[in-house]
Formats: sequence, C-alpha cells, structure tokens
Amino acid sequence: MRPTLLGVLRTAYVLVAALLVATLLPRLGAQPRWVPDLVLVAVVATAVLRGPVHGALVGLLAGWVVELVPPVGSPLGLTPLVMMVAGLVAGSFRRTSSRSRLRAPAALLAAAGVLLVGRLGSAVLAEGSVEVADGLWRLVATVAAGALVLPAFLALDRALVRRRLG
Amino acid sequence: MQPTVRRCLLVVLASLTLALLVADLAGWSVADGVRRAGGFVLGPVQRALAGVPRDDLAAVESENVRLRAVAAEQQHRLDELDRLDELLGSSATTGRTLVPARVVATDLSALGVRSVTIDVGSRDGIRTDSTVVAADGLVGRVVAVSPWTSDVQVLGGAGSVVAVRVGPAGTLGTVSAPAAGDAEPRPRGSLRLAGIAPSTPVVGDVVRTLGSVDETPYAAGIVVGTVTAVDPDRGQLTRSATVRPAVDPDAIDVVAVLVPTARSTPRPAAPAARTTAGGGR
Repeated sequence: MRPTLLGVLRTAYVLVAALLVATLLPRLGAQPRWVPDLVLVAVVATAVLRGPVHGALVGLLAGWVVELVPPVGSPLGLTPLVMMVAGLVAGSFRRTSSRSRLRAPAALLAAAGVLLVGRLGSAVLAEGSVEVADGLWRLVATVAAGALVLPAFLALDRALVRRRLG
Repeated sequence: MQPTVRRCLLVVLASLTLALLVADLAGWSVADGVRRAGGFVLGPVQRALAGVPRDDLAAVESENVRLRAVAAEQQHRLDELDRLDELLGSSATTGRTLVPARVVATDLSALGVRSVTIDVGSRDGIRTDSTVVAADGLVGRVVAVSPWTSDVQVLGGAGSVVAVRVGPAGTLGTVSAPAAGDAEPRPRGSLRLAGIAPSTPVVGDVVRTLGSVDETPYAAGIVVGTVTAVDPDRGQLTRSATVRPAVDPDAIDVVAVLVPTARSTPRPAAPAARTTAGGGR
C-alpha cells in the first residue's frame, strides 16, 4: 500500500496538533480549559466522510499519538480506546444522501461528549477529582474550533480524493 | 484498503491496546517500555518546541531546587535521630535489648482500632508476642511477623488485655479496651482498668505492666498510662477505672521491639539483713 498525500497530511496534522496541545499552547499561557481538542477535530473530519470502522481505526491511531506525546498518559492505552469509541460514534453520522452542513459539527459534539464521559469515568474509577466544569468548557471550545475548521478539512479531503491523491 | 481488512486491523489494534492497558494497570514492565519509547522519540521535539533556555538563571534555579531537597532530607533525618535518642534514653528501654523500628503503615479498622505495621521482621530477629514500646511507654505487642515487617496489635485493640500493677503499692489489675457493655462512659482512646482491689485506685496513679514469663508478650514495669477517673462504687467486689494511655496510638513513629531475654542463670539465695526494717513486697 502506497502512502497517499492525504494520509501523510493527516498523520502530520495529528502529530503537530498533539505536540501543539501538549507543549506549545501551555507555554503560551493558554488556559487548559480553553484549549480545543485539535486531534479530535481531524478524527471526526475523516470519520464523518468514511464511516464507523474507518473512524474507529483513525481514532485509535490518533489516540496512540496523543497518549505517547509526553507526558505519557496513565493508565497507558485508555486514551486510544476512548478516542476509538469517539471515532466510531462520529463515523455513524455518515450519510451519503444528505449534505447538511450541521452533520460534521454534530458528529464532533457527539465525539467530544464521548471523550468527556470517558475522562470523567476514568476519574471516578481512579477516585480522582472530577472537574465537570472544565471538561464542559473544553467540549465547548472543541466544538467551536471544529465549526470553524471542519468545513475546510472536509473540502480539502474531498478535493484530494477527487484528484486521486487520497 | 478492503473493508474486511480494515475491520480486522481495527480489532487487532484495539485488542493490543486493551492488552497494554491491562499490562499497565497490572504494573508490568512492557508499559514502561512503551512510555519510555514515547519520551525518547517525542521528547527532543518538545524540548525544541519549548525552547528550553540554557543560561545561568536556569542553572541557578535547578541548583536551588536540589539544595532545598537536600536540606529537607537532612531536617527529616535530624528529626528521626531526635526521636530515636528520646526512645533510647527513656525508662521503657533502659537495660533492655531492643530493635529500633519505624511505623510504615497503619490501618484504622471499622471499630476505630488502630493496628500498625513496623519495618522490622523475622530477618531482624523479631518473634511474635514481643513487646513494642515507644519513648513514652507501651505501644502493644507483635502479633504477626513476615520476613521484613511485623504487625503490631496496639494497646486498646480488640482482644488486647494487659496485666498491670497500679500505683505505688503495685495493686494487680488488667487493662483492656472499653467493652461494649461497659456501664461507664469513657472518652475516646482511653482504656478500662478492671479487677483491682477496692479503695486502691487514685486519680493520677501510674499504671505499669506486670510482666509475663520470659517477657512475652509483655515485659515488666513499662508505663501503660495514668488513671484519669475512678468508676463510682456500686458494691462490686472489684473496682474499675479509666486509664489514659501514655502513647497516642495515632501518632506513633519510632518504636522499639524488646528482644525477650529468658533467664538462664539460677538466682542465688541471699542472706537477709539481721535487722528487719520493713520487708519487700
């Protein structure tokens, strides 16, 4: 299997986004609650065009990138599994018949909700402190960023596929 | 990629992830390897992104942090040494062979009884039913021994009964945890002194252990506590009283386990003095 331009672009974006969220934005003084989940946006963008299985696969791989960017998460492997479920949920929003503009943001909202539930659930299981407000703010920030970026992502994806580069 | 292939890949990768998750939760070293690999590959990128400054200020700051850690460590050791000095100089340990130990774990049971674990065990020569003392007095006795740690039943624990002598006269009695059917209200953490002859207990009397054969489980003459209240006389054969333990079981740190010394030489008979001026007791 030959790596396509779309695949390379997507991998590069996920890597850069994970590094950005983990390293650069905190140094620039961004509050953690306002940092959107940029990796999830990419996962949703590809899942909503290609369906649940593809979404779950991309979610799992992107989750591993997020997990392995130091500080490495603990327990190891929880983020990939939650991201996989999020990709699965986002992929189930695919409709070949409808071209509504609200479908992708709705998928992002659902995926971000899955992520929030996963985070809260693991916090409860680990008897840590549960910060519902911060999680909700992060969800809002993610959906807001996604509403701006997702149309561009989808257009790029469609254009590359049309030119047989995806 | 074919959809079936993709589905297979997804299942395989998800199972691998789940296996790693379980391995990490179980504390296997595979997960640490993965973690180290992540830091090894992506750490340099992060350093470059963060633009770590390599100037004098950073060096001085890191030195400062290191020195603070050293100072805290030294202070901790000094405190520990002080406590050990206090323990070795106290009356509970004079003239006895002992193994110093530290409390490494405590557990408060549902009934409010504290049991503690100390960091010496059978490799240090500890046996079950050895006496455990702190600088202020009796802590309890060893009930279970493992190679490197021992469990101590703290005075006032369920089923702990100590034979004692009360006051200057040395009247016999027993000290135990306040029983459920006890008629008298006693403050939390205090003990019940029972079975003493009437008219003897006085508030302020020091209670000491009676001692057992071969000093197990309790050595003789160790301070247990002080009588704080005497129960009213209701015409019983014996009186009971409230005893405040000398050692606070919630704040034990450095303790000593007394090594039982069995008597091996016969005691010689000694001639009594000619003029009998008050006999021994």
